[in-house]
Amino acid sequence: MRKSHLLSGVLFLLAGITCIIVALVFDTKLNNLLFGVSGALIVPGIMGTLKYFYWTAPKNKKKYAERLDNESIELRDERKEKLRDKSGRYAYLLGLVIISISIIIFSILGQLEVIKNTNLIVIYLGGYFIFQYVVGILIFKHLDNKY
Amino acid sequence: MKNMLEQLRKERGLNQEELAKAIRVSRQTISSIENGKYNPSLDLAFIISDFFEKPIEEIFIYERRKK
Repeated sequence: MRKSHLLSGVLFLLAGITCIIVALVFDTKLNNLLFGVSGALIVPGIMGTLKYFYWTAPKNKKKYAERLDNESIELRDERKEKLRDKSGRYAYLLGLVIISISIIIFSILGQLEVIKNTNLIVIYLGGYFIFQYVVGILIFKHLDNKY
Repeated sequence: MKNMLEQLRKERGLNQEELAKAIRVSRQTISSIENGKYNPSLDLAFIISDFFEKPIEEIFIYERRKK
């Protein structure tokens, strides 16, 4: 395991501790956010640091090399690559459907005045839908020209 | 597409895990090819053919579509 893993673990940990100190010392409106962020930084920081010491222990060296080899096989496995692409495609289509349904639901809720100021949400969702659709076409055209 | 992968693997006395390691794919990919659920790419078909030292058409049998 590379030293950079240890470094990033320690940096996450330090950043998390800094967030807690700032939240405790300064009484700001961002305190809740700071506590949340500190948790999100400290936990992976501790995990990363512990992982580094575990996998660099001499008794785990062989096991780690095996694990890396397996990971590299799994990552480059053509069937899994194909399945990842396929699942991405389904997730994309499902995303478009959910955005469309959300636009309709928010429009109705806005008209019925259940939620106020839904126009902004509807415009945002509409923009996001168009963005997804256009980017999908552009990436396809780019790949079509490339291969 | 039919294939002789399972038969050739067993003739060599290998299990799916060992064959998968040797040609650097996942065990599930070997299983899927053997069950006919997945057809390998040309690249992987050649790797398998080199591994068993047999021509590709002896391992993978393509069934032509009827016109």
